[in-house]
Amino acid sequence: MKFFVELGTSIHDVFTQMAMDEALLDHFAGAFESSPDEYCLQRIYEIDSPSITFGYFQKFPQLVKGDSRKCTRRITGGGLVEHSKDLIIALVFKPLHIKNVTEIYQKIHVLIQSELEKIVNECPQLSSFHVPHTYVKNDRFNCFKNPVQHDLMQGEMKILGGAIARRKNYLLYQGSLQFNGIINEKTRNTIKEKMCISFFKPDEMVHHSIFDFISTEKLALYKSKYESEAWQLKRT
Amino acid sequence: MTIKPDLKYTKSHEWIKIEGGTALVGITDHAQSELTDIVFVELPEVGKMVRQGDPVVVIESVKIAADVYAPLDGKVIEVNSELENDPGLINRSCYEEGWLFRIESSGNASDHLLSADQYKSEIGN
Repeated sequence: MKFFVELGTSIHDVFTQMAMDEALLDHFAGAFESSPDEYCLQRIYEIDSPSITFGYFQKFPQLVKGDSRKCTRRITGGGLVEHSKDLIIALVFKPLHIKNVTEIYQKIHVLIQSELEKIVNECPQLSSFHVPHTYVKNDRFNCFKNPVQHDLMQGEMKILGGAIARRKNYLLYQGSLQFNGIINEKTRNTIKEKMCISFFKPDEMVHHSIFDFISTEKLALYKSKYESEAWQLKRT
Repeated sequence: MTIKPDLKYTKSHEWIKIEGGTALVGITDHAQSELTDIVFVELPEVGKMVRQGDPVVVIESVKIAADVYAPLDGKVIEVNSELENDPGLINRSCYEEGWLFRIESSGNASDHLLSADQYKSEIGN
């Protein structure tokens, strides 16, 4: 298994970040569709200003009208996420040997939990993570209002919510890690630098720039979709 | 996991029932089981022209939006609008009431489609 850690694109606006994730998913689903080898790519990034994303199947959120924040539809499912100082973990991978999407969430969130726990030793303001195994209440509209099965919690607070898109046999996982001001900038940067969510045990780890996979022109096309009203207002 | 011997399949987990010049398309038992409880289905418009491999339908289950692809070139001539009210039909009856769309094939080869045995080995059963 080859594990790509994507570097150098960590802070951009919400349209660019969503475009990068989708472009990488399409690239992997196309280039490696029939490959017997396993590939996984990780990006950990930030959005440069407070922004909103909402799930592929959601209607354009009313609360955004008159709001100055940038807002766009994701290709992943799930609910609305308000991005502000969160870290976004994106993984592109082929889910071999996994029974269903619930198990995928569980595996990824346990991996993230484990990584956070390693970092907690250096960042003592974080503690007591757990992954709930039962549904509390599923408010489909807002991802962080209510925890659902396999979300990552710190105490009573949901700190990680995720959503997935599938293209052919590859998946894109997008998870928003939100600490709501309980960690400082230094701790956040430590998490961003050190977290390594290897979905499978890698034989080889390779650091790459997104531009090793996607051209600037292609990325611009993807970005224009996220900026367009046609995409944002797909469901009204 | 049910794999019907009389159907054709794709590597991306669609099943295809060829009936004369048309092909009825749905997702396999393996795919619906991976997706778990399906809550939304976005169907194509009747009349839409599609190429083999084009994303045609989007299905959402537990926070996953998954594309379903056209197995052949052709025109979408019918969609299963029952799914708009009851997307769970795909989970309950993926090969019967949970079908997705019907394509009028433009006559391209279907050699790329898998037999039931080939699909079975593809998914590791």
